[in-house]
Amino acid sequence: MSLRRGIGLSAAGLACLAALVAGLLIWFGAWYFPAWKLEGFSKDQYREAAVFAARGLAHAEGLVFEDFDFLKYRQVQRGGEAYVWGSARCRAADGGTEFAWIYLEWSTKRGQWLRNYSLVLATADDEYFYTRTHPSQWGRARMAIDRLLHQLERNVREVLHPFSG
Amino acid sequence: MTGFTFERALKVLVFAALVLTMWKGLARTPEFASHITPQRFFTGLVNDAENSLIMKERHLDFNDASAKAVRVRLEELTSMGRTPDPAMINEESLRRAVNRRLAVRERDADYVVMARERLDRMRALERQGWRMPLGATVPPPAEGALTTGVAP
Repeated sequence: MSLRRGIGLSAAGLACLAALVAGLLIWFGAWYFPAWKLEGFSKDQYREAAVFAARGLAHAEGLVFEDFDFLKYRQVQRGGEAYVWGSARCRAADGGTEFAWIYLEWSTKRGQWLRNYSLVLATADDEYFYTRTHPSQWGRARMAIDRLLHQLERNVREVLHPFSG
Repeated sequence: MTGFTFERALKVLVFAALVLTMWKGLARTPEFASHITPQRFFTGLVNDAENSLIMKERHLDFNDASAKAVRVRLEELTSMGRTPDPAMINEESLRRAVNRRLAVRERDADYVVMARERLDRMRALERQGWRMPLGATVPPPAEGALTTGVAP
């Protein structure tokens, strides 16, 4: 096997591996995790579904879910779309309060609740706390990427070490 | 006049595809849909407006929930000295964040009002049995009228 052929094969292998990893991440983030363990809740059981999602998110963030500050259920009159969202009050290990935004959408296609944009509110990497110069241009980009990676890591952690009790 | 040749079959197929494309395209125009399939047309309009209203309400709630989370951080900073990251979350940045949330709130609350008006407008059009006129000229809206009666 010539050197050129070896390089070509390894490049193709790496590209396949990268495609596989990207596909796996997309499958997990867009299909598997949004639905994970929410199959059992009917459309009317939106509160139970939201509490379940909030408990799991809080646990994966090292927090303890206490109660919903508010929870809203909305559905359209024409069509099958339904939504539930709210702010979950959680307790941190140091005794402080944290709020988590929980948002689920009813999927008419899959006939179940799906997790949507959910995260801990007012974290240190939130752009609310940016000033003109702090963080720097590069720091902003890094913070935004870290934020997304943290959410992905948290979702993986939630599945690997689920809340029990 | 020869028999059924391959070219002729191809021409018929292309013509059929052309007719189908035109039909499908026409069905998507408001002029056509409001006359031919009014029920489906208005269901789509009202459903879209309903979903928009819910979305705008959710965005407003998200902003309010964020503002509350920032306020509670400020309270805990003064009472417990608690801050997850002193470089980013300090008294100055928290006060600024509260003001920013309040400013954004004005806009988001306005969006909710506009979305509700749009839903009312769509329902009014359906009640009136509105159909999009073909080749219409736009009249000025009547004094105090909810719609001009021409376009959604």
